[in-house]
Amino acid sequence: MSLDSARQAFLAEVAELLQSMEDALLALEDDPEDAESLNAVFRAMHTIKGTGGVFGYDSIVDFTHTVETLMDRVRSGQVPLTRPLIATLFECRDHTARLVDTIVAASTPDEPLDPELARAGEALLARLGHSGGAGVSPESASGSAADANAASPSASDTKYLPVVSDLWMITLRFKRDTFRDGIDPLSFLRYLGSLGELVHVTTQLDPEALREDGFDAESCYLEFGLGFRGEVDKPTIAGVFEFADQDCEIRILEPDTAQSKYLDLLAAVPDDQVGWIGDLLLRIGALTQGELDRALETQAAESSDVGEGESETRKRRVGEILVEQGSIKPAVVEQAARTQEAARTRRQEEAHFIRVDAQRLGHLIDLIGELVTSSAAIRVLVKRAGVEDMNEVIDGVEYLVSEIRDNALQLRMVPIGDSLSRFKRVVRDTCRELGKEIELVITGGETELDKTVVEKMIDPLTHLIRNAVDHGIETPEVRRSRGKPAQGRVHINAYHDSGHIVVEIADDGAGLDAERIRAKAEAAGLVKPDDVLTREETLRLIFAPGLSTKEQATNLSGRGVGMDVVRRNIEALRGTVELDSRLGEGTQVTIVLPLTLAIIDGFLVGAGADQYVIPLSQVAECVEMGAASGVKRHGEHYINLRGEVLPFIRLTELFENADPERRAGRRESLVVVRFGHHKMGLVVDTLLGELQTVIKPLGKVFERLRGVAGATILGTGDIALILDVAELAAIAEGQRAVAGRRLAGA
Amino acid sequence: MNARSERPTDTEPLVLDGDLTIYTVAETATRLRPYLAERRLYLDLSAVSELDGAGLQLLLWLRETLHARGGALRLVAHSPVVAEVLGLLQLSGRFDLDSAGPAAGEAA
Amino acid sequence: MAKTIMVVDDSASFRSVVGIALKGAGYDVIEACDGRDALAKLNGAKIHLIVSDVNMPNMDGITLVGEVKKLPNYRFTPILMLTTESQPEKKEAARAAGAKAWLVKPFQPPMLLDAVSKLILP
Repeated sequence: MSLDSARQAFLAEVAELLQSMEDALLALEDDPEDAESLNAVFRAMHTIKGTGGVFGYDSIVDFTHTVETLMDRVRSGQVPLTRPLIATLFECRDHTARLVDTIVAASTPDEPLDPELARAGEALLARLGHSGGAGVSPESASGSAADANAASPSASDTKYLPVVSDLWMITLRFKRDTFRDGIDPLSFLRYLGSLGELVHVTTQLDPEALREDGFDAESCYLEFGLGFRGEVDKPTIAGVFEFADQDCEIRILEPDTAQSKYLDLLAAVPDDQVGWIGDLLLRIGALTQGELDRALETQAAESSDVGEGESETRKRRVGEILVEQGSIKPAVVEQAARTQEAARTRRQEEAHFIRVDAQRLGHLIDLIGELVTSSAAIRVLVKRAGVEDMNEVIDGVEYLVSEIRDNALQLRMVPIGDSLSRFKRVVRDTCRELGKEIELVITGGETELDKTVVEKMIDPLTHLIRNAVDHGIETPEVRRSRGKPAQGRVHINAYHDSGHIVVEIADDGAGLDAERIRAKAEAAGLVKPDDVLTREETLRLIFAPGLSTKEQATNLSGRGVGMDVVRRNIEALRGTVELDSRLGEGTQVTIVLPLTLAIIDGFLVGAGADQYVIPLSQVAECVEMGAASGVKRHGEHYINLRGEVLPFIRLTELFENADPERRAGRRESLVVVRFGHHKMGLVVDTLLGELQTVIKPLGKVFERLRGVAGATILGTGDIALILDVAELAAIAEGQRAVAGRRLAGA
Repeated sequence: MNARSERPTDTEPLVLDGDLTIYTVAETATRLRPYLAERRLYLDLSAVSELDGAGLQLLLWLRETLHARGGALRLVAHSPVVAEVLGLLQLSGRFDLDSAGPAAGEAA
Repeated sequence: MAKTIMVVDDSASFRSVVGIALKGAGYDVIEACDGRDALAKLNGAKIHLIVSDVNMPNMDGITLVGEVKKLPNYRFTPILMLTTESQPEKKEAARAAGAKAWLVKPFQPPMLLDAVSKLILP
């Protein structure tokens, strides 16, 4: 048996006892008759002897026995406690510490004691005999025989328990009233023997019994050390002594085999049954109720000793006390604490998450959408009825509804990282196929967005990442020849930005060749050779349908599936996609998406006979059209806003719904909207203000209606179309292109 | 019970008989005290009809006390009841039946 | 020599079942129907263990324990109190009076024999 946990517990116990012995000796220097301190010194030696004996540490037993015997005489007044004797006792204390350290550290209890240490011990004991004996008591005066006898009490008498790993170690210290209470220790021992095998039994009397006139035959002085082998658990053993619980100090140390069983049991305790550490140990049978109660009493007594305020902080842990009182081995307590901690963590996690059917959640969000509409309707009705008092109530309801809406939407928010991690596999497999070395780095994976958005953005994302891996990152040879690290890098980064989620896909690959894009675009007739385009505009051409820069399409990206598809997908989500690239350095694609598709904060405008909702997050500003406001028409399709030239669309023209009754010349308004880095103007008839609104998908009939993302029901019961700004921009661009061609053709 | 004041020997040992239990230990202890200074105390337990923890403790006390004063306890004989208890506590070695007859001479 | 156990309970059928179990395990049994009867039957008899109910007419078990503790020849006799779960305070009272062992009714005979063998040698 190596230096196991029981020995560690013994070491800790010894250290504590020796500390109390030292404190007591210091006190005795001031008051040599202080009974409590005398007892403390005696107890320290007595306990170390007793426990050392169970372990079979004979040298410890021999040494401490002599000191204990002397202290017993000092205690009973037979030997005066002189200053030299106290000095010697200090040395005995130090020697015990050395002795215990040395012996416990040795591999076997039988290992012969270091001769030097043995000699030091003998010298000390000799001095004890000298300073302590001094012809005071008749017995000790009668000769060195008695002392010599006392010095080696165990040589033939006492059989100490060898430390055997499969034995239960039980120590019983009966109290004085045991016999008088009708309790016979022998019955317990016999009964225990019937449950298994009493391998070792040591019987001792408390030293008090052997003092002159100290023996009362009806009092019990019996102390037993038992080595027991049997297929039983700790509660069963404790149950043997249940009737003695008031009459006996019981310590039960389980065998190593039981300990490993406890460790297994602890690991197997279901989380919902992991409670307080004491209950946990009781549950697996590592601890008895009596032992636990004793530890709790100790804890309570200790905390009542210290000051009120400190009691909480200074309260020792029950586990610590249990180990100290020998009820349990430290390893078991540690495992119990770990089990407890793990269960606590898991329970907390479980408490944070419950699984909910996505459909139910969707239904809830739909209902909240209706609620939003209904509360808007109430607002309208109240306004119409002119009930002023109601406004405050309506404000309160609307606030609550918007809170409920936000919280409900939050329910459907998931971290984007869960979906991004699948790309690791995509990149790995692609690398293998193409012989590339690419590291995929994902940051901001904790960024949350609506699950429905996540699902819809996976396809475009996959496409972009494949592009990066496939076309962007060069082969290791090419990279090395260009002075880049052989391993390429694709970085996906996600973050929130004012009501939107931004996802960037960056690679350090070859980058896009603006010249080649230009050439291809010209070949495809998308631009004319004399068109002047900025670098940015040129790069954006890659999103145009049918433009592929890769001469050789690989089987991975597929032929003909280009960036135009990506853009369409993203824009269908009311998002935007931007691209930046430098030849030889790499490419970065930035996708901006709304956090949710279900509900938006909108800005309601009227145009013609109808009302339209513009996503509020995309509204930059509203200005009145007119000479005074600095808004000037700039040709047919552009407007000059404070010197900035913006394309614009007149909604009544787009939807061909101009109100014939509307007075001509009545002032129109301009709503400036932005998408990505771009801005455009929407010319409307009236500005109606902000509203929360639920997006209802348009039916199949309207699916092809361009520039509209969905519809919503207003508080008045009217239907308003939700505008798709990105699509409107595309329409405006198309109109300009058509107009341009017309102009060119003319 | 016999209560002899002369020194017990191996041939005429101190005899404890009947019950050696919590009900009798106080009285028995009083009987034993005069013999605590013996170099050799011979004890016959063959007539002990009942032995409990208190009785066993008394025997231990007797033995340890004698031992501490340089003496020794010698059991001349013991009853099955005593043998059973000594066996249970694995004390048979400590309370070995004294077969060394000549030791009597030393005491005399 | 067989050990003698006194069984004190006001139910004759209970006494006989317990008696059969104890006799089967090799003990001698003396029966008493209540505390007063028990004290009367203690007179001179050698008893190693008293197994007593708590609730009985004439003299209850707790009073019996107190009385037994006053008798020189019986004061150290172990007493096994038979309690019920519903009376935790009775158990404490019995302990205070001097009965250190207890068994909760209802019990099966093997439980009784276990309790008995924790208290007296066979």
